[in-house]
Amino acid sequence: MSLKIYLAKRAIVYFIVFVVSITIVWFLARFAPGDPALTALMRFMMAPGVRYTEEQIAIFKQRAIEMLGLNLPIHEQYILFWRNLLTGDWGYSTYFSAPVIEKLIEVASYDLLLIAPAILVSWFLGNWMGAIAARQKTADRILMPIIYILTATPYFLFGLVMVYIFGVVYNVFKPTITTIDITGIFHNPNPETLANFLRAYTLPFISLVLVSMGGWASGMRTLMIYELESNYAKYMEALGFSSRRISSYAFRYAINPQISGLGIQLGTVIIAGLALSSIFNYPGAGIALIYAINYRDIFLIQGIAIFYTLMVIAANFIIDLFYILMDPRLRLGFMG
Amino acid sequence: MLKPDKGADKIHDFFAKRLSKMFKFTESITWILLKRNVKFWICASIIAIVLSLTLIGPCLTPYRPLDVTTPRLPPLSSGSPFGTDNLGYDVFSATVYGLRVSLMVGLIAAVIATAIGTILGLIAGYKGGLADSIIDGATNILIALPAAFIMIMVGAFYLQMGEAPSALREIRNMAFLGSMIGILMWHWTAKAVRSHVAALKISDYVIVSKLSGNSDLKIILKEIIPNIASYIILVFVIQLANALVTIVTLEFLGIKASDWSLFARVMQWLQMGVLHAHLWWVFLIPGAIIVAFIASLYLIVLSLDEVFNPRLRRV
Repeated sequence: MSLKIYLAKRAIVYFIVFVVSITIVWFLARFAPGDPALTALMRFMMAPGVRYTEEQIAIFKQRAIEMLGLNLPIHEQYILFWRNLLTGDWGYSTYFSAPVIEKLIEVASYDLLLIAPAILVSWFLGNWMGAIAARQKTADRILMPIIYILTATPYFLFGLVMVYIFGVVYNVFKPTITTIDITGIFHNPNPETLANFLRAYTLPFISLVLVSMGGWASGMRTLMIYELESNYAKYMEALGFSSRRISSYAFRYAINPQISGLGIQLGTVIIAGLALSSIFNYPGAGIALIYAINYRDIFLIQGIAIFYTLMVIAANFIIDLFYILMDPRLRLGFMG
Repeated sequence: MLKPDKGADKIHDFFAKRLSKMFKFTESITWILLKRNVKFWICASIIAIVLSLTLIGPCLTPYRPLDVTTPRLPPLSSGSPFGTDNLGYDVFSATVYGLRVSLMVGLIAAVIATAIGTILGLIAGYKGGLADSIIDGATNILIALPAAFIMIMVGAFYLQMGEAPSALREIRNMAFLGSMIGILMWHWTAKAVRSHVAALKISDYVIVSKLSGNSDLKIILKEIIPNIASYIILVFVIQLANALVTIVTLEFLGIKASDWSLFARVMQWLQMGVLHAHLWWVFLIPGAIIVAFIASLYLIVLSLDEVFNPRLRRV
């Protein structure tokens, strides 16, 4: 399979995933019981505390229906949804009283700042730890229970324990983060803002890294054990290669599934990261999502779903490109 | 006409005894390895304790999860073994009732995911051809689809909420949430089952069975399913653990099947400021229980794998 065909195939799969997931989101929002979009828009149009007559409410409802395009035939509504999506009209958040797209760009940049480095660091650390656990029996005894307990811990629970110990009991880090703590360093970099930033950023970052590290480490451990028991490893051992050398070869084989696993796990890690960061009151989408769910802010939930889905798909494509660099079979298929 | 003589009977007896001895499970190598596997017994007892806590727990406490008692009782006080929160809700009753909901949803999700995955995996692996490529395409799309956001959309707008607690609504919500999670996670099982079936399909005994005129359904039921049954059980346990992690996170974000979903209440407690009031038992005890349960599910699969899979035996 040549590289171009491989890339085209992946691009087609992601395009289908993109269309399918956006369609599912549209479908879910459109056919939700109780018409939350209509209710939200009417609540927004009508001033609170004012008593309206039946006719006025009917007029408001008519106007809201026309604004949302609910009077159009269903396929035109679907096309309208796509047109709005592509022109950046993502609706209006009733909770924040702001257009959804502006709010999304703001929270997503905070989330990228936290989640992207955490995913990369945990991936490298986890694979390294898993490889060590597979190679050395004594290390395995200690590491394995830790790895599996970390894997089993829901992210937010680990964050809770961390924030309780280091934030509340020993006031080393900030238990509640404000936006200023994070943005200060970018507007006015000096030692004080840096210290503030580190006091706020460290805990969510470490919690996220440690928990997702467990998943990578347990995967790597199993893959490495299989590789080290395989025939080529036994043959190398018989030829007298050092165990270090054998492991480096085995690692090269075992790392490939971990790269594709990174893409697969991304959605889960992001949603878990949102739940985790909400504990620290981190200004990302996590806390916004919790409020949006509790106040049934439909446009914001829909916006977060679409925006983060897009981010996951884009990241997946980048990982696929990286996979080509890593997997010699694909690379050489292109060259030869 | 052949007449069974005494000698043949004796031989038959001998082999019957031998066979019964061979298949006595308690003397098999599997059992010996299992008996030695400390990890397995620790995990099994943790699972048993947590399950019995959810089953008989409600009988052990006089309180319902929404009853108010004395506030800020530390753990191990009489009447409320897990303490109470800053408004006086009993943590033990919140935990046992809440775990019931979470485990039930997780169980429904795992059963549905395993059932769909096994059936589609069997079809894809056994039939091959068009069915295989369609199912493969669906799996690829599901893998790349960030399912959690769809779960949030569904959970936020399709679960029925009402003022008055109602058992019927709760059961419907649990079934709905569980099946939704199941429908979005079957692809792991399907992929795994498919590769196993595709390998079994070309094995000699399946071909012999086919040549002797057995129908496809009979071959699948008699030859293939018994061979992958133990594997499916392991996959089911992993699906259960994954589903529990998912449902717990969803509950925390506010997608709850019931008014006393455990981690939705943990979130409420956090918003009421239990962290700064130093009421650590309120979130730590329920959290430790669910982590112990999920970790035991993962580790029990690992230890069974060590017993059944000679490549992983590290003796």
